Amino acid sequence: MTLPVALSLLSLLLSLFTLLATAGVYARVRTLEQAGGGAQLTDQPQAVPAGLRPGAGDTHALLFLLDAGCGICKGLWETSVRPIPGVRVLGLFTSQEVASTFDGGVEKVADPDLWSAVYEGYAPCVYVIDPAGRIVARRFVYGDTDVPALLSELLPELSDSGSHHAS
Amino acid sequence: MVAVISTNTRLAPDGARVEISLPPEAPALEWHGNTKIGGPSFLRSFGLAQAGQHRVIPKKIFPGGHTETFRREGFDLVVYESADRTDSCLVWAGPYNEATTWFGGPLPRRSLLNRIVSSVAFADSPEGATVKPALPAMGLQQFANMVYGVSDQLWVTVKDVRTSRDELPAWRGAAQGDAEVWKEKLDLDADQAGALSGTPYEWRYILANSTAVLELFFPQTSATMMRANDAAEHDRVTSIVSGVRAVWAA
Repeated sequence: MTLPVALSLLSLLLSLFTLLATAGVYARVRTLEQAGGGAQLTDQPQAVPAGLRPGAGDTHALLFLLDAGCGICKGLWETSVRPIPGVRVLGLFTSQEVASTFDGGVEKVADPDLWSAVYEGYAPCVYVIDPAGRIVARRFVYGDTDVPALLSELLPELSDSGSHHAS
Repeated sequence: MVAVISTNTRLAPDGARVEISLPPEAPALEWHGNTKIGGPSFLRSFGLAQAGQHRVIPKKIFPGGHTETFRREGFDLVVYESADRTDSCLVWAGPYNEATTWFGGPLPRRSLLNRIVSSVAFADSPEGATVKPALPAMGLQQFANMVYGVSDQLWVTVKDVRTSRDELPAWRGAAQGDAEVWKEKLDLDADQAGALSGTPYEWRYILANSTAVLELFFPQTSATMMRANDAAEHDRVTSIVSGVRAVWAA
């Protein structure tokens, strides 16, 4: 093999490598561009851990995510959280100490792992969970939220499991 | 005579930290933001506001229109379309803040909405939401970032000095602490100009320091017009203009 032939073979190899590298980068950019670009305008499927699913015989679970630092959590708990027949109504807290400061006859769950599995950056939140453990609806609750109206907006869904949540 | 000064820390739409200090004479403000994101075959402008503002859309702006809500992790995506399909918008409704982009026509088809939603990343926090290009690989640029506070008595606009230096007046302003201050006459109609002549309400005030450009404007409400010749009100305006400070930390 002469030197010119060796050199041209080498440069051929080099250009082949460049071509492959460019194609690889292009494919990577394409995947990045399309990442998450599928179905954004749908409800994001979110599942909760088994400990938060509705009990046997319940159609849904109504979960109040509360924390110690929020000013309106206590008011929400005291005025609006009531047992509903056929629905597991529960409050979810970060710790037992926080849970013990909330009085009431509804089920209280204190578990940091469960809490952080559901938490989306805001408390208080109301979640409706179906028997398979999927979140059907989620609402942020504010100081001026009409909670009875909110619950009655969520309650028709509780009797009609397949429906999509309205506005 | 520096009294208690309230400092508001807000996040600009691109994630810059903006600190705005207002003297006690200033009214409480509602915080908003604006940003634009553009790139190859993509250009959208986004308006940010504190949570709950979009609730007026189905009631007041598009009564009887079409509304759809999609739950995403940490926020809701809401699309609105007016009943006559002449205008529509898409809202990222987070727990603390929200971002809205308007289409000025019927709601775009699903694939386009999907593309818009996946092109930008919305993140909410109590100090403000950010709307940024989702992936650097898409070649999107963000520009025209601004934070503004609104009340019926005062508007404060804050921008990054590095991008808005060209908008400053060409002549030299008055020195005020570390800032340079200009005032520019408002474009008022003849009645208002007559009523407000010689008062601090006929100007808008522009302040520039090493990080931020501020613009102050006192809206011409009927209350302002009534108090236009009140010396105490003039002092209030003066102390707001001389007491306001802002830092834009990108």
